Amino acid sequence: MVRSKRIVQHNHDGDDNSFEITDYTLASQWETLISKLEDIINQRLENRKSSTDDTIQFNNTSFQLIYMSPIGDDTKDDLDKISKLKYNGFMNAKNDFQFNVKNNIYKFNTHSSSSYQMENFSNWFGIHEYFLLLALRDNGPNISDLSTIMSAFTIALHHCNCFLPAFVGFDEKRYENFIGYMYAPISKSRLLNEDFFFVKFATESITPSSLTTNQNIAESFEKQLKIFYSKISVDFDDRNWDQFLSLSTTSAKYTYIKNNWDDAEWRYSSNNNNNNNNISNNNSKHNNNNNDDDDDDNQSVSSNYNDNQVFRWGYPMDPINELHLCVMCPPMSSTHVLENDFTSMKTPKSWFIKVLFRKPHNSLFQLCIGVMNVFNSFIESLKTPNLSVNQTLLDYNLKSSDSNNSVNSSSNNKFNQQQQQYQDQQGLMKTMGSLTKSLASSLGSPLVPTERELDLLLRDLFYEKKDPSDIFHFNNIPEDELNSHPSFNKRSADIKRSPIDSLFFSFCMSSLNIQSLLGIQLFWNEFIKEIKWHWSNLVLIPRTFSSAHINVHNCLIFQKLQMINYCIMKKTISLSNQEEQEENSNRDNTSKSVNNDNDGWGFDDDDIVVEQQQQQQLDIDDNDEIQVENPDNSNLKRLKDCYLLYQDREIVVPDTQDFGPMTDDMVHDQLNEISLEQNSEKRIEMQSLSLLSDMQSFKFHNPGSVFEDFIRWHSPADWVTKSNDIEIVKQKLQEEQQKENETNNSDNNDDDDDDISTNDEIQTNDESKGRERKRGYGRDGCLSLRMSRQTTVWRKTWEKAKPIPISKQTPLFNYNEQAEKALSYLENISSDDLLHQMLSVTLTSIATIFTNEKSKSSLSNEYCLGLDFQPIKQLVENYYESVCKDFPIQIPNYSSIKKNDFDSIFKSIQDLENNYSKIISLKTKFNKLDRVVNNLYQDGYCDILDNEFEKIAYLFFGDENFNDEEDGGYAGSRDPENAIPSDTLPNIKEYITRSYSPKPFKSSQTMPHKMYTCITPYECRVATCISEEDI
Amino acid sequence: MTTTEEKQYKILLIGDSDVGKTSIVKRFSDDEFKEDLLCTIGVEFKMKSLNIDDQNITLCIWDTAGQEKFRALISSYYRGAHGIILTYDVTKRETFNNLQYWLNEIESFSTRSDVVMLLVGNKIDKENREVSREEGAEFAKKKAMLFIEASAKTKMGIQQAFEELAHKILETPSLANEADNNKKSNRMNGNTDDKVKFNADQAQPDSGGCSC
Repeated sequence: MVRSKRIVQHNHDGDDNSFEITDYTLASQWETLISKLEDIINQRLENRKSSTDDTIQFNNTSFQLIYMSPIGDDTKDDLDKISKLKYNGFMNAKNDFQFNVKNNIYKFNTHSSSSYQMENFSNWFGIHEYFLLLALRDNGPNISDLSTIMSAFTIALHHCNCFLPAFVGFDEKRYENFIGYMYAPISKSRLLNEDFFFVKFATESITPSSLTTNQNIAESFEKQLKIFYSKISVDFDDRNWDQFLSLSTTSAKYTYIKNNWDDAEWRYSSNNNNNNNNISNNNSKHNNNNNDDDDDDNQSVSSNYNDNQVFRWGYPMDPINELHLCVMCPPMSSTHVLENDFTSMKTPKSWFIKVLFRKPHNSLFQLCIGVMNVFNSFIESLKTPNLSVNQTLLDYNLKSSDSNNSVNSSSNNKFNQQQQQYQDQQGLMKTMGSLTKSLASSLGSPLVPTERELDLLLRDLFYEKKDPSDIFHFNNIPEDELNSHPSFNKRSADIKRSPIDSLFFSFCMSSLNIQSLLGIQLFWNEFIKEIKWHWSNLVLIPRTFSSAHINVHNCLIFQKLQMINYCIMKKTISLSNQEEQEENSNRDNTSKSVNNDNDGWGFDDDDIVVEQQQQQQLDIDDNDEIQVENPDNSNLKRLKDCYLLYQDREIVVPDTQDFGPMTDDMVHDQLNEISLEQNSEKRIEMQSLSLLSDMQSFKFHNPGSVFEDFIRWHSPADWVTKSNDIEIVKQKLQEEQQKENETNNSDNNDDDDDDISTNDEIQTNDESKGRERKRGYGRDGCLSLRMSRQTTVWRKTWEKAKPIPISKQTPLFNYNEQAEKALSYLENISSDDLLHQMLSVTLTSIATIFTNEKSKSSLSNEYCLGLDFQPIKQLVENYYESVCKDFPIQIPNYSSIKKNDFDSIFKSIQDLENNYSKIISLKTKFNKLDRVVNNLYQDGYCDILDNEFEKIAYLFFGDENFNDEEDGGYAGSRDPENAIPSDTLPNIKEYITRSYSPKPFKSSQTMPHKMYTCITPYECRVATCISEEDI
Repeated sequence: MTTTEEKQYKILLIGDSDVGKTSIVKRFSDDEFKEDLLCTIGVEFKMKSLNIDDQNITLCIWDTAGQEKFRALISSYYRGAHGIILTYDVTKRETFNNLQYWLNEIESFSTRSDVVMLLVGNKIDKENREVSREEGAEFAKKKAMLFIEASAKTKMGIQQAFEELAHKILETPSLANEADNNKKSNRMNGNTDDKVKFNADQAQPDSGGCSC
């Protein structure tokens, strides 16, 4: 077996003998150390997660054993990927500088000092996974301890078959000086292409001040080469030194670093191309509305656009820390390297670009922090289930019980005034900003928002920022689209939501800033006051539907707000109708006018309306002889070719009453009520009110109509027209009559007709009143068997129904009652219910926002962060999956919630935020170079093609020397390095020197060795990797 | 009724007027058939216990009116349904052609993404068939529904229809585990204490809801 190992060869070595095993019965300290190391290595290799927990005692010194791994808490896939990682092919110059770990999954909350180490090791030498032993006291181990420890590591790594490098920090600068070892078997036959092992030895050896001139670097470099040579040579003499130089090659890499981005700028998606498209689309739409638009207007439109594109969440700063532009020169004889500038070196040179992202840090995940805030409040609220917001605030003495009872007469004025101010102070509003604008600023905000802060939040919610004619205004977007489902994932439909940009959505988003349950409760309290103001002043609640169509996927709070809006609308219409009527009746009969001294549109007036209507109803009921008003049917539809049985008129389709929207809880209660009612007859009666209303309208609009006419309109399937069927029905009816005549007994089995129909009743129900039934025009046919019965609820209701127009019927929908109910629900909502709904809305909205693409959505741009970019789409999917998996659809018990239940949701939001801001930042900088953007995003580096070079150079060096040359034809053929200004020196120079010599004996096979030098303006680091054949 | 551990599922019957929805329910729950059952107004309600794989479950069957005028009202009742039985009359092609309309209704009003759907072609005892079995089966397959042909009059297929539906619900974990416990205890104890989800704090629980 060939084994290779590195033996410390140091200027001070020779102390190896100080350690000797004398007693073979007891485990020596050294053996204990080895077994301890083996244990830890085996443990760590099992799950391969970074750890800093292990401490080791050796020679009365405590050491901390750090295991660093790029693998996060993730899947087996990643693990496999890392396991298969091959160390850089020794002869491939380019690979030496590249990162091999594709998935840069950093642990989210790494220990600060260890993350420092990791960063350095990966920056210096491209190592991501390693063991590191650091002394806990001020100084590292001395040389003899060091060699003992290294030998222990050597053995432990061999025993564990572990191919990871292990480092020990030593001397006073133990955070900077390391010696390391790595085990890798070498196959004798194909040395070059197989896995090999290397040891990297790093030391800070050159002071920055001496690095300013080339001369010094060259000197230092040569000094390092000599040290390198001394380590690998068997015979140390000058002749071999020359031979060594001639056998060695050195490749060089130069790196230009660009950082210090303008933090404010990157967040404006500079995907100008898309924007322009959008803007022009938009302009064309604008132009339709307003033909006066000229170029200047377009300009202002586009600047507005930029305002809208501020990415409100995610990193407050640019996620890209540095960009590296690197040029790689092919290996050449080492002696010449330092005397030449890279531009004069022989080609081919390869250029590539590398990106270093900022380390993810807790405080950078703005959106996630907001969501966590609300989650914390949610969990807090679960401790006291069913405790209403109101009650809590009373308990805290933050709300006086008086204001609760009085119908906000005082607050009405206050908010009314506020509303006025909104209109007047547009300019002020813009400059004042609010919490929503910057989540970052809210990080330090107090737990309970001040009155002023709440005020600002409320203004932000209720003030209409957008022009009502704006196509992106909430009211101008079709309900269907606002309700549309955000994702590919079907399960997620079960989580309730609220339309993007709706009032309740905005409420939830604003609440992300509030860091305590109490704060949210206060905010809600103020919010409800405002809603009440809207109802009592009959002003539609902004950005909330007012239609009767309740979307079942919206949360109950939104449904209730919609209900209130619907009530406001209905009430406004009914009041204006009433006014009209009053005017008419005043004209007709002044004495009968209703007292209407106070001209306010209060509740009371309206109750009068209802009473009036009921009175009228009674009047009508009392009179058997109804004075039928002549119905105005001119605007109504008719059933085509369907004439009344006994009249020469077409059947008129009457206006019928709406029964209004049904919110979830109403449906729930109603179904409960129906199912609790045991008597099916009564159940039917409960539901026959709308049937009665329809019949009344029908009778009113179709004087002289009979039950059959109603059925022909209302239930066409029960009007039998085929002669065959008619025969069957008639036959069956006859049979039944005969049977009944014979037995005259009741049919006990059937619930539905407990009353037995007798011949007498049939006689009395004859509606023809002697008229002759006419023929033709849809009149031929008969009622179906089930409708022919004389005593069904249908027939009974028909008999009960008087001809009444809907305006005089008892309203099916009582807007006062419903609005009050909805308000009472909102006012008395329990904290856990409120928070649960807020979270549902927030979580689904995040998905919608990150899914919607600007070009494909009719939502306003700020809510369309979706990108046509697979990795991001994947992240959104992951996010949604974890939400569906972990977010409870119903309010859970406090006891059933565990601390880490929602971590996967937070994690996926963080991933989303982090990666989204990365891709946006990259797109901002590289614009249309999609290939570069993709590679940088996925791999962290990207080679540069000729046609891309110019743009990238521009990004790095600005346009100083570009414009001049542009005339001279700058096509891809131009030598790229000309683009680099001659006065800009590379920030980092790196050299890799390779040499071959047998180690440790002359008779050993020739092994590869290399020296790695990295020179920056601040420091110089050298690492040597020396292979040895085992004895 | 039965033990408290019994699970309860909400089943909704929809389909055009006069396709026999009420007859199906009647046959299933009371094993009766009448030619002249009352034409349903709004919704009707039946409970029936079933034993599926040694598990006792209760189906709350909501039978709806098919008339167009009732559709707006009925659309509210899709909420929370575990299973939906979509019915047509094999002797009336029009009722078959209208199925797409009902599917759209399900799409927009059903709150559960994984609601189990069963297509029932009723009245196969009649001779003047207009929709073939194959046609029905193909349509059901295309729309990912279970399919059965039945006759409430001859009893054929009725029991199977409900059993198959219940089976499928129990096989769907997200549905099976979310049995409607609230309503059961309401019915069992006659109180409304655990209306956890809705207006638990509302001082005056809705007495009538929206009356219609």
